[in-house]
Amino acid sequence: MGFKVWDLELEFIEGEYKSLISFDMRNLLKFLIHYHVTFLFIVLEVISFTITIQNNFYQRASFINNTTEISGNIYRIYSSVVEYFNVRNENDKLALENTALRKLLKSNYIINDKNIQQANDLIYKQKYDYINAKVINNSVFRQTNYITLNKGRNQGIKPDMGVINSQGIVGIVKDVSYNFSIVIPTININAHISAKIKKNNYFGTLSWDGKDYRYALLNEIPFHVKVSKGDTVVTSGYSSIFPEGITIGVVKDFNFNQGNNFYNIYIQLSTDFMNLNHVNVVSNLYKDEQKILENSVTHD
Amino acid sequence: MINIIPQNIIRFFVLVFIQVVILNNLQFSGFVNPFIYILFILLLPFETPSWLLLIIGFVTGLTIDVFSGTIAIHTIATTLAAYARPFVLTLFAPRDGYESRTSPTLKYYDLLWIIRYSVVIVLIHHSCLFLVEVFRFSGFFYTLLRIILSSILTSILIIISQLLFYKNK
Repeated sequence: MGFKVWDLELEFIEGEYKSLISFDMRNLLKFLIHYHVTFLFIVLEVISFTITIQNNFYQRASFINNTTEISGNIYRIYSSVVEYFNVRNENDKLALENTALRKLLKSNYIINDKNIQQANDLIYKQKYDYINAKVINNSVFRQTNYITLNKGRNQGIKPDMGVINSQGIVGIVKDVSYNFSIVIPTININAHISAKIKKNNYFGTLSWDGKDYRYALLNEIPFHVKVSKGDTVVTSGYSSIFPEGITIGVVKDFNFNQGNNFYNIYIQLSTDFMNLNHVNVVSNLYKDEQKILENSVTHD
Repeated sequence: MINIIPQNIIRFFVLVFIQVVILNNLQFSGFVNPFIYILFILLLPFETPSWLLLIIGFVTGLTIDVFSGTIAIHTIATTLAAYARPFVLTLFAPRDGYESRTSPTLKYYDLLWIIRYSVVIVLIHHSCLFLVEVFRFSGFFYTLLRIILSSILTSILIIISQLLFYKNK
């Protein structure tokens, strides 16, 4: 008799417990269904924010790599059409560059230094190699501008290579896919490039304030250095990305903040980012060696 | 009623094409960028369920991101605009609600309503877009100026397109 009562009691308790659970679940479901739009909204925004933040701190996800392949092909077709409108301009630029290069030909110089002749193979060891590429997508009016090139990993382009054209520096390769690469140009608020004033070799960091694609800022030049308008600014060659002495631009204006030991120097960029077509990607053949040596020192 | 779906799909491709190929390359001065593709979200039929609206907004933003080489900033802004649309519609609802089988175009509603509706959504979208793009609050007034000028330009383009395609009164 007592046994049965016990059983019944247990069943009763279990039943109550079950209904309690289902009641809770029902409430939760009701809540979810009622606010399903908001939940979906939050989920989608979290996804997109994650993509944004991941990209800010790490290399681009492989997802972007793959999409670059797709959009890159479409841009290639697009630029093959638009290219024709720029042919005249581009020809003029190439002709100018040809002349400049012809002036540098070895036959133009008389070598009369005995030391150089003796140590010929050491002096003329090649340090930088250039890969020609074409700009197939470009932006200048955003805060984070990017350039897409028509060559990628298959053609030997790797992240962190420098990009220049006949006028001056363009930017640094950020990411590559098999046939395309993405360049952070000087005119991206996240770009920082080591630069120096040509006449006195003081170096600082070139950055962009996001305002005008024709001007950039040179920071970290101390106040005691003599700067004047029209000074040429070139790459420093310290970062092992660019060769030394590639033109960046000229000093347009400079001022001095109270309580700050450094100048604000405005640079007129020599590269016309509005009108980019052919560029050269710089590959430093000794970069790995330099990096390994530098890292071994910092790890001590 | 059945041709609403192909009509919207075609509109999607046309707007993305215009945005990516023309407007992204043809900015008018330093900081004014029109983003006409938001018109696609604006013109979806009233009956579109909110969850579908969100997914459509997400996909639209993602498409623009892929072609602009930007990372997810258009996705964030467009999803927000899609989320806000039902609220804005409720805010500006006529006294007897929206008639079924109509869409938010000049064909069914007057110009003033269209302007109010478009400007609010465009402002939401552009504010989110430019703030996330800069990702910082320094130079806030500069960003604010970009938001206002770009919103004006986008709104003007949207109104012009409405006058061109839907004015048959």
